Amino acid sequence: MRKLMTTVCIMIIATGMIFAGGTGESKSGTAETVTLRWLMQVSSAEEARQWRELAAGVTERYPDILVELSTTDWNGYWTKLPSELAGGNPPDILYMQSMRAKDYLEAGFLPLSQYVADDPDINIADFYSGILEGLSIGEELYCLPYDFGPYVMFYNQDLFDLYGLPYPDTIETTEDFEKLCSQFADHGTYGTVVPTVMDKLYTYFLGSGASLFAADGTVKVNDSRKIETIEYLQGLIDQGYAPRISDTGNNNWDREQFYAGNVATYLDGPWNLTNIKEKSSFAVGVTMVPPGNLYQRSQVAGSGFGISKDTDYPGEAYLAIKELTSKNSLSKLAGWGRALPARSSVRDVFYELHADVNGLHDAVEKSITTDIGVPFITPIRWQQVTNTISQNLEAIFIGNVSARKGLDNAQKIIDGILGQ
Amino acid sequence: MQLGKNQRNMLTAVGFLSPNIIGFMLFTAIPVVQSLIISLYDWPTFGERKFIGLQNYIDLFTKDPLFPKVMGNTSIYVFCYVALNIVLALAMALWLTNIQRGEKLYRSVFFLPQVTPIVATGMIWKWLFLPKYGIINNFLGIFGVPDINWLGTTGTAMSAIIIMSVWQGFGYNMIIFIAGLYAIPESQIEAARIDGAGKWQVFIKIKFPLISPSIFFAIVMTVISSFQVFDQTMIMTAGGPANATNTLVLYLYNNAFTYLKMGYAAAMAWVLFAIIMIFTLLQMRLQKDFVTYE
Amino acid sequence: MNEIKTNRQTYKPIIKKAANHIVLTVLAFIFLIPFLGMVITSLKPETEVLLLPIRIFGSRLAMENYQRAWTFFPFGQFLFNSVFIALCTSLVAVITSSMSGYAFSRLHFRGRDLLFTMYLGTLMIPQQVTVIPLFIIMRRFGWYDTYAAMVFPVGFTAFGTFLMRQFLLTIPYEIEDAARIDGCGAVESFIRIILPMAKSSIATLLIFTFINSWKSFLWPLIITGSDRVKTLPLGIYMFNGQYGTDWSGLMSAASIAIIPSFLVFILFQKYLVKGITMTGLGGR
Repeated sequence: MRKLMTTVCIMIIATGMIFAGGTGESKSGTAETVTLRWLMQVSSAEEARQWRELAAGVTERYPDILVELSTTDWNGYWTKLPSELAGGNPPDILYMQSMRAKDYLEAGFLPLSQYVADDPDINIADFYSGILEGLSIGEELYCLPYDFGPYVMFYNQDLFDLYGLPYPDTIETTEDFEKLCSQFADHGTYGTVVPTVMDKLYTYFLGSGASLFAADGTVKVNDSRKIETIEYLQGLIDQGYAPRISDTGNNNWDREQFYAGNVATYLDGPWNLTNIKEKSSFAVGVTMVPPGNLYQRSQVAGSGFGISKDTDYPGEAYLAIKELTSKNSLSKLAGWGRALPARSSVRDVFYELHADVNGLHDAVEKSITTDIGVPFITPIRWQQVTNTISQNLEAIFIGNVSARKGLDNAQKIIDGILGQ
Repeated sequence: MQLGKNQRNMLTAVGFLSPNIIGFMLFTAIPVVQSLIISLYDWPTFGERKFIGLQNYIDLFTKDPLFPKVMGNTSIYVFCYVALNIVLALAMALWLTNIQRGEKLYRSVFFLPQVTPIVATGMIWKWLFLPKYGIINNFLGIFGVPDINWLGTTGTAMSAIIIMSVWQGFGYNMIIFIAGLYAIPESQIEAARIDGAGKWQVFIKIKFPLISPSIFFAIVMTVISSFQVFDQTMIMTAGGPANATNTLVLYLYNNAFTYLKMGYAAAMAWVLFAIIMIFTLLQMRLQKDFVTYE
Repeated sequence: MNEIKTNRQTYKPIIKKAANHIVLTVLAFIFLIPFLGMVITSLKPETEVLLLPIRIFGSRLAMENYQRAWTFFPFGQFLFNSVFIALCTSLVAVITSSMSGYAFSRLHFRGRDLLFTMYLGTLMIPQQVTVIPLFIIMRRFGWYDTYAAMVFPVGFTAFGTFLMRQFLLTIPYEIEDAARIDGCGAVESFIRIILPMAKSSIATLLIFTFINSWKSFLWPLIITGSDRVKTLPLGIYMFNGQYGTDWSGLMSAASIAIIPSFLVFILFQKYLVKGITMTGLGGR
């Protein structure tokens, strides 16, 4: 009996080893038509329909390529994508966001530079260079971008009208901005809201001349410039210019405060404009991010489509993502308000769609000029680093610890993460 | 003959066990064993992997500043949650079995959170806990308690999570205790009453010993499940602020799916397994002294 | 003197009863606040959900949330999948667990208790870490994005085996022995004698499995691809967008989603209590 038990145990372990070391399974598909699977995150049924239309566009252009879309919610995507990549045989076409790119591209995605170089008609120069950079590792490009955007400041026009305040187009210093906030405070409203996610806060850091990332890939958060920046933001909350964070589990807390009309301004990218219009009941205006105490800077981010390393049809998948990010597709996306297109040639479609939004064109165009727009190139293990920073920023903004102590604490953990 | 009987027994047993055991091997045992293997590797969720022996375990205990923190948080959660859950479930079960009518209705009400999606009720709880505007602060304000940012303060966030979890979870144990209390023969309680025992004495002398096995079962199962607390902390606070509500499985999940360190996460899972195992064995040992079986 | 006492005896219990019910009702109401909050929010216009200070009721009854919830994802399809998968999972769990429970409790073979302990041990490994190896196995089977993958890995449950074993231990051996003497084999006595006696513990297992399958999120998220086999929790989470959550839509979908599993609870709760009582989990 003991023998039997031992045999069973060995069998389990052996099978376990075999499965653990496994790669993908074989794939079916006829010679004529290639079916590509595309994993995408969506936020509404409407959005899923629009992506399907683009997928159909691929087949229209290349009749023997069929693109099959499967969708998840935003958070679900970041659980599903690693599982798919771990499981072998992941979907062929994958969505990727520039802020998360470093953790995924090299290990999971197919390098594209060679394809682009061999392709005479892609016109890569049409894409905004900063976002191409964001979706590359070094010189190697991994994704073709479809949207991008600089951070800009959205404002609740109705709230400005209600209190007879001029729209915030002329803010030139941090003092101007504080003054504006104080005027809202006089009316019992918050002038702005402070995010705790580093992706959004980065713009503030840039404005005060603090770069988060050193060339050697280290991250420093506790030098004096950063502490000052955080103290400044903390001051906004302490003075009642911004609400004190009450929902720590929610990355969209600042957005939701703005949608609800609880705050007059907030920072976000143009990618969210359509959503703001849907979720709020007031007119919205756009202006550039308020300058920091040294510079006027804006962080540029975006997303695109890449191909999984394990795909059986790299050539077809390349054609597919090329079509998904073609002028034609991107102008459709822009027309639906889904994205500020990554191609300069069709950017105007987006502006025309949102012609009713005050200041959109100028704010965006100025923010992406090379001396203001800074691509957000993250170091490896960024998700763990940014989570660490957010966790400590929450504690700082809520008032549990001082800025210095909180950032020191974050630095200690970050050193551990990156030192490994 | 003896051997033949044994073999026959074995054959029958194999027949009865095989459907479940095949499924169990495939869908539980193999993944579990794999996770043990994975824990010995520097195993990114995808990409190149490298055998590193016990390094993940060593890192957990010597290098990772968060691991002791999440262990501490989880222990506090388990202790408070299990205690509150059991006491409340037992109290409500005693109460509900004492009223003659409507017991089923109340029972259903208290079980309701079990079937409600936590992603929805989690948000409502956040609103209840809101500083200044939330019901809880407004209610406490009546008694002069100052405004508390429940989920936003490192000192109170875990208590808020525990309160919410007890709300969500105690109905389950309550049903188990109700079932246990109903199983007590009326005659035994009557006999004690006739001997002049009061309600409290009936509880201590008759009811408690008789349902002690179900209390034991409930504690064991609740300890196991509460060590694995995940949904509540994920949805209510995502572990914040400053990791005050970061728990073991949440941290494990983040390592596996967000930080893409599968090997490290697997090591964490096996540490958790060891802890739960020790606790369960300890409880089994204690059971002999405290639980009365007939 | 005597009369007063009688009066007391008649009225005191009634007053006490009434007081009991009043206090319990108040408690139940407080207890239900988060739940009521969910339903009320599901009826608020989307733009008013996050307004501060919180208003209990919206400016109007926003039934369009339910319409949105219904059309946001293929609600009917997801609902069907949820019910179908939960039922199949329960069925698999009941069949396999009662069989293995029988083997672990009433058949004698060597290594029985060791094997059983191994079963129990697996309950202590969090799902988050076994889910990727399991995913790889499903891929090998070609079960990705199928009902089979949603049902079988969940249906073969160690908890179910544990539950059934505990119950079957309580059935006196004499009953089965009598049948055996009459010439019944193990299979026959299992079907004819044991299973009918185990009705309520089967119901208990059914409820637990059904509810767990109904709520399950992580595994369905990972193993499904198309809308064909997705379940309601995945649909509910769809309201969690990249740029914020559609709370009123989410609450509407959640409010509808609890109905079937709550119905299962209401319908079977009689058996649930009985089942727990008899499994010995509930005391004896």
